[in-house]
Amino acid sequence: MNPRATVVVDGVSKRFVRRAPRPATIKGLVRSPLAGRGGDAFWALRDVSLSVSEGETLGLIGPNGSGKSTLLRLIGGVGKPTSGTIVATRQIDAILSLGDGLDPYLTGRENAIATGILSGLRRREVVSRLDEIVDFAELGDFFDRPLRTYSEGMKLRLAFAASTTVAPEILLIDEVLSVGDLRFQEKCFARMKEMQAAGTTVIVATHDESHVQRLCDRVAWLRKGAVVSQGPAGEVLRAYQGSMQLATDIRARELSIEPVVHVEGVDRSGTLEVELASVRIAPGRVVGGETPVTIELDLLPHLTVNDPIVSVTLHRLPDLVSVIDLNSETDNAGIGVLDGPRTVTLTLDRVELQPGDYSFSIGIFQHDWEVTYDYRWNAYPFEVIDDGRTPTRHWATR
Amino acid sequence: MSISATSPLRRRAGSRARLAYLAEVAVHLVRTDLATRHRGSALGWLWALAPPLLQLVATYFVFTRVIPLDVDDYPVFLLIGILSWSWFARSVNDGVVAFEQRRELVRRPGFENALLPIVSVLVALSDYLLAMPVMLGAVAITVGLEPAAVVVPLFVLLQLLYCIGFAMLVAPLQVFLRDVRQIVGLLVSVGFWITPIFYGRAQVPDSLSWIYAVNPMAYIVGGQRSALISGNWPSLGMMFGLTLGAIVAVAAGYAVHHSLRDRVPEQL
Repeated sequence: MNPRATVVVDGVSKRFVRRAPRPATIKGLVRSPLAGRGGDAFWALRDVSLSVSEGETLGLIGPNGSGKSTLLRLIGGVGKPTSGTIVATRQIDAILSLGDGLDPYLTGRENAIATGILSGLRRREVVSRLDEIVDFAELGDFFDRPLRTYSEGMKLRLAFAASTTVAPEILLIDEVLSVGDLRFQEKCFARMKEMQAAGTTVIVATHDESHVQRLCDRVAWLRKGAVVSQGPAGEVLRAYQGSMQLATDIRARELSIEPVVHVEGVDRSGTLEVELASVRIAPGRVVGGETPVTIELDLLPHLTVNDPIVSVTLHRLPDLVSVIDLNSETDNAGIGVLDGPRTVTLTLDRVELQPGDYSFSIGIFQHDWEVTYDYRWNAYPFEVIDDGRTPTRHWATR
Repeated sequence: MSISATSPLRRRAGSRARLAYLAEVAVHLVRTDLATRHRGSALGWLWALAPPLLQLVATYFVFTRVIPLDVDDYPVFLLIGILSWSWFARSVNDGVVAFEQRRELVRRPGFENALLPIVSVLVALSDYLLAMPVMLGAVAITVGLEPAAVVVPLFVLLQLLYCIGFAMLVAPLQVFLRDVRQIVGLLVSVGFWITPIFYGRAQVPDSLSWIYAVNPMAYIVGGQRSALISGNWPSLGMMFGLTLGAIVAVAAGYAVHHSLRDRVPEQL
């Protein structure tokens, strides 16, 4: 075992018995004494092993229901694994659901104290940090008003500020960073960076890849409770993005096509039943905010495909936050039957973005999103040299 | 803003510092419970006194005018019994739903679940302590305080242990079987009648005295009455038995809590 490891998860499996409806009353027990015994068991985690070192940030990615939250709770000591062991050598703090423990009838100040105490601080420690908390949460006079008068954003800011005034040794975070406005997210990221610098071990579960990209040293990718792969953040993330759809792999196997999970340096994935042969951006890769932009995509189907979905995402660099996220399905732009090469044209009347560096991700998917045909992640750089947001657009296929 | 790397107080597992921290969490939970309960009401915490005093007046009326029981110093006699019993009843009735009502705390990593039933008992205790000056004042006015009154805190401590034991025993059970709350409620209601609250042990026929022999609340109420009203010191044998019982109650509560503690958060 790595001597600097602060959390070691070794061969952990977790079985839950879903009781539907659970016979939690005597009446239920009498009526169906056996219900819930054999029951509806499922494995939330299967043989998960990972370890996290001091000061390291591990991201858990995977779709909903992949076991991320269950794993975080087990690491936090809430519940016990069915098999395997979890060792955490340091004091753990967790933000599993921001604002869950807040009391609407107490003031912001009282709630901040409550949150601090429950996070493992002594009362006097919290009290001595109240100024910092109110400062970070930007609550001003609201600090001494009851929480029920707060907006959602204010509650989140308060909860995050109070939970993180002292960097814990191990911090578990579940999804919470995807809430709140962008500016608040930026503050949270800054706070997280400080904690990382201070040596806090962080385990963060999220399905937002841009958060993983920004925060994590390493990533473990979970699917149906099992670790698909883990390793350096960039690599695992690309593999994850390359195979976001489980069905894609299965489909590829059925069709005897070798799925491109991850091609080094290309960031490409999919079954390649339909290939994205080439991409042209007009007038060029450097445009002003008022200039119309046309993206031409050459699609090369290897077999006949009915009404695939084309998606175009524009990421802001370097943090990869998606600023434009479009697809032909939402825009009701039927691509039609692909029985031969086609060119799809997407025109954005104005890009209306802050000047800066961006990058396109472009994907072709089956009509129900179940299969990724070809997905190029973060592959087409783009620069905006003027200013301005969601453009009007026109799709055409010929 | 600066963030210190580690707080020394965070490494407190198993140590005295850990206990001090847990005590502070318990005090915090009791405080917020009390603060939110009476906030915004005109009489505030005085409302805590209303239920036992009203029950006292009604019971006094029934058993002096309607069915005279002929007990000496009946007002203080009643007050001692009703206050002790109210505390006990509230402890157990609130304790049984302690986990259910604070789901977010039970499922919070690092939170010591055992605190929740204890906090229910302490909140109920605060009402009892609030009424205690009234009780002692009434005793002082009507029969006069005897030196034996100094044993009252001992009885309070013993009752505290019994309450904690019972609350810790039933709180986890409720999570698995939601009827537990109803069953406990019924037992507490019946308990009011088969515990000498509005009558004394002296009025119980010998053939039924076995029911009372195993009821710790009968001794706790009886012992306080005899100390406060008659000025008699409790027997060492009784105090020994009560202490032994209290230890067993806490041990049983802890054993049940401990054996179910990992399954409680998952079941909630």
